[in-house]
Amino acid sequence: MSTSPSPASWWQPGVFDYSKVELFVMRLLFAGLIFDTIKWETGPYKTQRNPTGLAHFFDFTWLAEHPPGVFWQGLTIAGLIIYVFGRLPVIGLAPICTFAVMIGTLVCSKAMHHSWQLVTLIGLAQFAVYAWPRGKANFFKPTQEVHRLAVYASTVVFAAGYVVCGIVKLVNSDFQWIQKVPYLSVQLLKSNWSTYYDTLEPVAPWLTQATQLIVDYPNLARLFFGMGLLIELAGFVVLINRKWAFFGGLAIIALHLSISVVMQLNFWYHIVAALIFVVNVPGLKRTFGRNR
Amino acid sequence: MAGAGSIWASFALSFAFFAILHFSLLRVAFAAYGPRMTARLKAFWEHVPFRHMTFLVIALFVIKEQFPFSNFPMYSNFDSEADVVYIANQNGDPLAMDDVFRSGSSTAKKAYKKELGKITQAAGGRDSNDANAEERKAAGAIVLGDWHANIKAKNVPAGTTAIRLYRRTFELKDGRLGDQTPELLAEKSL
Repeated sequence: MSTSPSPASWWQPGVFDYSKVELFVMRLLFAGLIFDTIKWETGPYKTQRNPTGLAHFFDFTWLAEHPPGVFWQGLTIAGLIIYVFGRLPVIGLAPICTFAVMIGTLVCSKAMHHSWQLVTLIGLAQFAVYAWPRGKANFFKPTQEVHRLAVYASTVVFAAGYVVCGIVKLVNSDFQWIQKVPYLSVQLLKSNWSTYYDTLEPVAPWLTQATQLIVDYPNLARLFFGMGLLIELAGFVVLINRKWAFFGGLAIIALHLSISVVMQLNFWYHIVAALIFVVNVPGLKRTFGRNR
Repeated sequence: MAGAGSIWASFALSFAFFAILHFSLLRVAFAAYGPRMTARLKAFWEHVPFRHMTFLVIALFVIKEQFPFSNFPMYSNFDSEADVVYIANQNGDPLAMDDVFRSGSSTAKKAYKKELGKITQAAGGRDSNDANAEERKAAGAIVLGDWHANIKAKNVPAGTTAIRLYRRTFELKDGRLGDQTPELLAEKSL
């Protein structure tokens, strides 16, 4: 008797049957996204006072003196163009992955940000899939299966990012996160005023009332913010099938949009990544087709 | 010197002997149990729900914050107080940090917390929440120095002769939200 699980088990999902058009659109949009995440203006990052990742071993501060200019950015764009057309993706992704890691490491060695990790990891995951030895033909022109695998790896990274974020909330708060939700009112004040000090744009007039509402109606607040935690913890659903991916992706986008409004914390790169890899608009016909 | 050489030689020989012995034992053990163990591990791996994602979740959880890896700990724990750090002019009027320093308040706050953590760790391994005013000022001076080095002179409002780093704390006390008078951490002339 075989003990291996059925390949159709919902908790053992596999690669989705993306069409060539879907894969092309995904690569095109992702190329734009990852290029945009890179903070090419490296001038202000002259020190690595709080090293992170490779900065423990290498000094990237030379990037502050020599920010990658037109040549390097042009080379990166050229690489992304051949990646978008599905040719030589290992070579195509190499410059963008290199700059994403080096510049991201330098910037985060000043103070940690959380906007770029997910997109950089997706880029690295795709690079790893394409770099995995599969013969000469696949190196130059990977098959559709390899491109699908690269998207699957991207979705795995995306889902893992949300699940770990939810788990960390539970662990770091000694599983008291929901209980502590009324204290989020203080965090709301903090994040809104932080945005004010960035731009001197006045804070929203409703801020004081909204934060006080959280304090006055703690259970309502727990329900609202608890939904957010649930969406994060259930991030794995985007791997089950296309429909779960679509609705899971929409839930994640809704979560980010509500955070943008309430806390003035924008995670546009995450939203765009969700649109590209899980909501997958060009694949809607397949997602909701008759046989699905 | 010859004595020391002999000691090293005997040490190396013993090491080699035990290494070969262990390697041989491992080979014997692997020959006997290896294929079965490998098959069991493979079967286990295939039964792990969402196995690739689960593996990555564990990896991210363990690695924590090492770019590009992250466990995304934003707002994972909080209490009745939260503070912001901002830069103002000599009169205490805030400056638009994005314009003047190309880096915002949250970045300054994270840098300040890191510096404060280093200072309190060096002074008896204390938590940065237990820092005294002197330690907060020391961390503030480091951060303000860094931000001063990246100032965009053309975006500094006319009449600004100095920049100041402030910390403003919000708190929830007895069911009411409020904030304390901002604490001056450091000042630097322009």
